[in-house]
Amino acid sequence: MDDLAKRVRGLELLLRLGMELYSERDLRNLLNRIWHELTHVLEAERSSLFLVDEETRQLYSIVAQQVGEIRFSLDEGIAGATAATGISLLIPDAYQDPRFNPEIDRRTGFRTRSILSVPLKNQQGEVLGVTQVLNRLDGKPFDEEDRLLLQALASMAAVAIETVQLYEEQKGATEAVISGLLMALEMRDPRGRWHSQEVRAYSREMAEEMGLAEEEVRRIEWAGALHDLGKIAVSDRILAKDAPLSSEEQLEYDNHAVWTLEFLEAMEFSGEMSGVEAIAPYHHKRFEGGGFPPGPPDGKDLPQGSRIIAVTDAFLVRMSSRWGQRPLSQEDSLWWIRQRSGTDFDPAAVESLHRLAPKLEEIRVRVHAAPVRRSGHES
Amino acid sequence: MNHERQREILEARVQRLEALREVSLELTSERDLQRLLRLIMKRAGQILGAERSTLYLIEECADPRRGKRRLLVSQVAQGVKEIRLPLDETSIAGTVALKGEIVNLQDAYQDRRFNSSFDRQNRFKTCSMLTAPMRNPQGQVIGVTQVLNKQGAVRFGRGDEEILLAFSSQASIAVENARYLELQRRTFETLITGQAVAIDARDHITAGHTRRVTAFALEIGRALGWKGQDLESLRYGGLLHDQGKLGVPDEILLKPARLSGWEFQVIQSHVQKTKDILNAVRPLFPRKFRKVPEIAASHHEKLDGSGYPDKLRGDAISAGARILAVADIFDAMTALRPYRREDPDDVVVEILKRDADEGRLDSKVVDALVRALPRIVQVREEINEKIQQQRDVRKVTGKQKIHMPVKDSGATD
Repeated sequence: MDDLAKRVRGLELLLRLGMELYSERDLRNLLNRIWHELTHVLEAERSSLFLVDEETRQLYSIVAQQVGEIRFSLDEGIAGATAATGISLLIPDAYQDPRFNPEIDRRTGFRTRSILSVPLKNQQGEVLGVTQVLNRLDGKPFDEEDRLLLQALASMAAVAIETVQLYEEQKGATEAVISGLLMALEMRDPRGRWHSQEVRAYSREMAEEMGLAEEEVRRIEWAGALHDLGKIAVSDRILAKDAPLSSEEQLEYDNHAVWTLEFLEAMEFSGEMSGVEAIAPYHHKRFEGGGFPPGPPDGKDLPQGSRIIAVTDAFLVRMSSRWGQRPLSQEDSLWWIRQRSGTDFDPAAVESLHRLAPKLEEIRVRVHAAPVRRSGHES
Repeated sequence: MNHERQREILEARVQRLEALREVSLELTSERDLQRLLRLIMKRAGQILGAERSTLYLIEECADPRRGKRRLLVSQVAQGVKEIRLPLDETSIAGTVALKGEIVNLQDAYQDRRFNSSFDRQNRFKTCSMLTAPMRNPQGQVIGVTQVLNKQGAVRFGRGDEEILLAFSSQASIAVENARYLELQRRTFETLITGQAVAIDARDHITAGHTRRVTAFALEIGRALGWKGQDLESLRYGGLLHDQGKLGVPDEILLKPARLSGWEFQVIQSHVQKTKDILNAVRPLFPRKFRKVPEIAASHHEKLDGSGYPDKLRGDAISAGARILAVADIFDAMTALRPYRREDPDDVVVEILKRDADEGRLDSKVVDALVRALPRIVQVREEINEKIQQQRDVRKVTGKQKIHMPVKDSGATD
């Protein structure tokens, strides 16, 4: 009867994990709660969950009861052996097992006796991590029943962990290619060094400040990053020139917006990047109509993102030295922008930039500190 | 309640939960999304004792009259053709998708939102019905799971709701996994391909070089029996191999004459630049494409250590980089350049073979190029034709773009 009741409790825990995966957004928190109960259900002293860090070839704990993060080499101890083989292990007495590494006991002041160690595998069979339950309270070794429950929890957790990892990785992949592209672009236009990343960061802040939805903020951020992509096709005679441009040169320069359009249209964006091609090429269009490239969208039909990027771009360009132009101070550049509010620029965007003025320097420092950064706001 | 009865209840519960445990193990081993969703709904139906089970996902559908619309589209519907429902209160599934709350009905026909047309079409009689939302990790509803006609009882119970929610959660994780993978693949793909187009656009003298080298490398890879992820990595390596050329000044890159020694050094520096860029972004590359930077940046290394930028030798040069090296030389020599005529393919092949004999290039790779030569010649023609077409289009449209009057460029810069 007791055994049966224990089984029910274990299986109910499994069911709860399945249900809560669905509503809990903080996966680490959820796993900590479930594993806390798991320790009681399996009548054990402690349980832990380690993930593989591919870069350092280590295992690190995301669930470790009563201790801080534990980190050790992927080929150490019972956990390492579990990760290496992908097979679960039932160890009746850890100190009798040559694979056991007593170092962590020494560090944490814990005394390990029996261990149940189970790998977390993804759908491709790759090991993502290891979970362990330590010291069955009745002194007996863990049994087959315990193993089945832990395996089921581990497989559910693995799927959820992989989702989170995939999400992070997807953000990283986009960031990797765009950062690479911007670095290549900067080599073409050394004076534009940082320019795209600065426009990107300022445009993001402004879009946020103006209260746009996160999805739109992200789209404007990417459009800001890519707005000058077309400069790849502008000759460096023009990009590197130290004096004002001739009208013919100006024409070739202006044409970079058309190239941006052409390059972005050649790409087929999906997800959060979809729509950047409708924003980025129009950063030189004027609020009351006109500007380049000619033709629609014009004036009031301009997407809000284009109007934001027009302001951040012009603001930053005024503060740089190009074509023999003297760089303006931040105040003078802000003033220059405000002079053209309602004609060249959208007043709403101009006001937002002014409200952000106290933060602008800090944002610039942040951009320069991390040339390749993870996207989003949090990092 | 007597002991015996209590035990029976516990055992029944264990049985159902056991089934759930088995399913969770089964689910992690299925990789194909459609099969996985079918499996989830089949097991949900079995465990809940339902006559039928359906899974709907919200999809963006093109509507000829109203443009794009979000609809519920059935993915797994037993015995029924595809069902499409609007996200509104004209059906139970639509209501659950809209409100995000579970709906448990004893008799569907008593609910005004129930849409009985599918019953009529399929000669089915819906009685009890349990419908649960599927949510992604951001909490948005991405679909709906539904089970019909509880066997051996008049309606689905509270316990059934929990179990269906657990299945829904599994299904939404699977769907999200598949979607992320697809999105990641597509974004990465389009950015890298688009970038190659942009690199080629600047360097019109070697127009199409990036695309041709990539295509040749793939043909060589296939001739060597490469597949799947290896070919994909090779392809991205090819598309990125000349990224650093963006840093070479126009006067050298576009020089219509033979280059001086110094100028040649500058050209060579593009490989170091490619490497610097790719090294900087490598930690963000998806795990399965971590080899790409090395492949792209080592395409000028030679097996005997005479290459650049790192003078790597033998095994230090990956198979992908060796393939790219051969593809790159083959295109450089067979393409028309301003300072010299293109060499015929057979002459170039002889040169490559000599390089292999003398230990600079991988002879297995050169042999594979020889085997793949007919295909290589064919893809080269296809790519060159496409580039010519793009040029023609640009001649027409580019004229308008470039000669448009530009006034009022107060916002210029």
